[in-house]
Amino acid sequence: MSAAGFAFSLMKIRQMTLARAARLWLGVFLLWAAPHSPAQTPTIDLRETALIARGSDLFAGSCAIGYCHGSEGRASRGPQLRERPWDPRHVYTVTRDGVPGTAMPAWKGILPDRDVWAVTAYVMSLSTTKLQGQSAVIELSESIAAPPARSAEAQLGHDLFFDLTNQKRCGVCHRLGAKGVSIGPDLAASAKHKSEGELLRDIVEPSSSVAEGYEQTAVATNNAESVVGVKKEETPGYIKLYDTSSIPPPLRTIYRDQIHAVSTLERSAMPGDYGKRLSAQELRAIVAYLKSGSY
Amino acid sequence: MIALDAKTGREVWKVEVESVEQCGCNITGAPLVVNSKVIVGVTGGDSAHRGYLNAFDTRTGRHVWRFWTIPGPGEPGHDTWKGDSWKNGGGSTWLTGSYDPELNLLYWGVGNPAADFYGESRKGDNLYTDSVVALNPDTGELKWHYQLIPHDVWDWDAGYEIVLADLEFKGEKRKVLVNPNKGGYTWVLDRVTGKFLNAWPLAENINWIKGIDEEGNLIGRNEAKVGEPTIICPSIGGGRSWNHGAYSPKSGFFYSTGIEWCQTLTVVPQDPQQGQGYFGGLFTLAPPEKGEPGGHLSAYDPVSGKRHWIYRSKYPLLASQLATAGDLLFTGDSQGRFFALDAQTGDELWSFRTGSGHRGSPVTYAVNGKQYVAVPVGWGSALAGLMTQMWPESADISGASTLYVFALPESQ
Repeated sequence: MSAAGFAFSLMKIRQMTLARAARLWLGVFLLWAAPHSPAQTPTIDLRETALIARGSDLFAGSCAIGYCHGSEGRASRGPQLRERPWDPRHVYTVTRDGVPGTAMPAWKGILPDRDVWAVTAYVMSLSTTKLQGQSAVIELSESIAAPPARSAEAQLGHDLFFDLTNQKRCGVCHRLGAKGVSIGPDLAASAKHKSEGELLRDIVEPSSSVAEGYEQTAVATNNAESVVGVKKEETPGYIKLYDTSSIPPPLRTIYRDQIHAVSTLERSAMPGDYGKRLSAQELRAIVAYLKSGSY
Repeated sequence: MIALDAKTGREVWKVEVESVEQCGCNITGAPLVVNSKVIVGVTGGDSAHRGYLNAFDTRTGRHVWRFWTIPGPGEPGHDTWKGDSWKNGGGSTWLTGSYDPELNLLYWGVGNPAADFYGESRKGDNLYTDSVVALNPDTGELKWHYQLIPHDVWDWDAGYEIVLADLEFKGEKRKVLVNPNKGGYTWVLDRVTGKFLNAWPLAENINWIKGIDEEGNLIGRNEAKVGEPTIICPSIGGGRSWNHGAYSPKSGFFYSTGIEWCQTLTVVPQDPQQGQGYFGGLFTLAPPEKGEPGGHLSAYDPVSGKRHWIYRSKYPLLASQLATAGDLLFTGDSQGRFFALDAQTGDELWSFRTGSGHRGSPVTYAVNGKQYVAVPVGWGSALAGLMTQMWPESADISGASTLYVFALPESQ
């Protein structure tokens, strides 16, 4: 409701009888006092011109570009969106969460929730489904929280951790949040109970304390090859092992009939030269990122 | 990248080349094995991403070398990128290159710079995007490069097939490479030195340049200004799609498809976000300025580009060609017809309805003296989706996933 609309409502209330006004205010109070009252939840109407215009702008810059849904939803690599029947909640959910395993990204965390609804409103305006009455009115969900802000130092740590221009970035072997590769240990778990000092030591002297299950495994093969790295899986038929002598580490499958001997070394498979590769400031930044909890 | 034992199908090794969630890239090109290495590129030219080519040891999966398609600080060519734009400048390696064992040179076509259409933030030539690079396959070291299109603002790439042939140029036999380009021109280079020999058009509607001079310089660049809708031909779909043409040593022709279509392009400034789409523009397909939109398949002199015959098609032809020693040319169309043309004249000799559109590559092979032709069938992909803007009825083409195999009669 706009400010002018609210003022108009107050004027109307003044014109009512006191009794009617009392009943109304009592109702408002009860609604306000009720836990999880629906009156608390802001709503939007997907037919609002301003909302559709906002969605149109967002769509043009995000969804229509390149090979995705095409200008005004005319299709490209992504499906045609215009002139098709859609359910607004389906459009919203797909826009918000993406479609795993496809090129369709999740927009939560990139667009605020209201903008996801604006895109939905725009797609519905292109659709053959005409929204009427209550089907067009949506209660805005508050469930999508913006990702917590990182300190500048933690942000630098994040950028170093996932620096795609560096072939030896941390993310090649460690997954945090929704990025990186799970070869090394889960750093989110260890950052919870380790101090900054311990995390720093883990980076510069990885063999000083090796996470359980991440000791080096060495497999000698029948044709005199030695593969050393992190064991991922062992069955009666084979051993799967990340060969950490190479970055990115290939996952080797070595079958029993090829194995000569297997040994475990009390050393970390992580390269020991990150203390030299990174400056003190960069190391501190990565530790700050790990401790931030904002992945 | 996954290596399987060819005899048993057992997995030998696999390696995650990049975190897909982070880079906005994937692998679309087939890997190429050169000696003891397997070489594979990535997509990512339409994302904020810095492209590269990787070589792995075929036996162990260990990483051997990486060639960055965008030079880093201190490397030659780095100054062809403004500011930090090199970090997100695209330059994907999304189709497979070619290898000359005699010269021991690996040729790879590098894709477009990112953002595709908005070039203000990446002023400069943007090496090695839209370039053919010749690498030492043992080390990844750059031997030479030739940039077809400096500072591309049309999303043209140089990623299509690189055809190696020894052909006559101005009366002299030369080792050449032929590289058709998305912008509708085909470049012919000396593959020993990287020297420009010729460039010729394989589409009729081209307006992003007026021409190419004898030195290989682009003449009359037509660059859309920010916010001003501009007709650009061909469309982003290309004067041809990526599916490869064919060179026949028997006929001496290079066979290639071409597409007649344009687009209204609006350039939109955009800031990069790592791994996210980075196009810097919007487009809507538009009919060509002359003639009808559609596709064709032609026989060209590979060096001069002289056209010997043309086979026209209502819709773009999006499948590869196969030329045989029996002077046949096989390909398929969007309507599901797999057909053979006379490679000398372009006359249609045979066709077969396969039930779904063609986007794949036919192959031929012999088993115990019997000759076969196999073709995968199944409509889909970015271009198939894009086509519905120009031909709405193409949305009704049914999909499939079928392999058809034909054989010559026993008596032959």
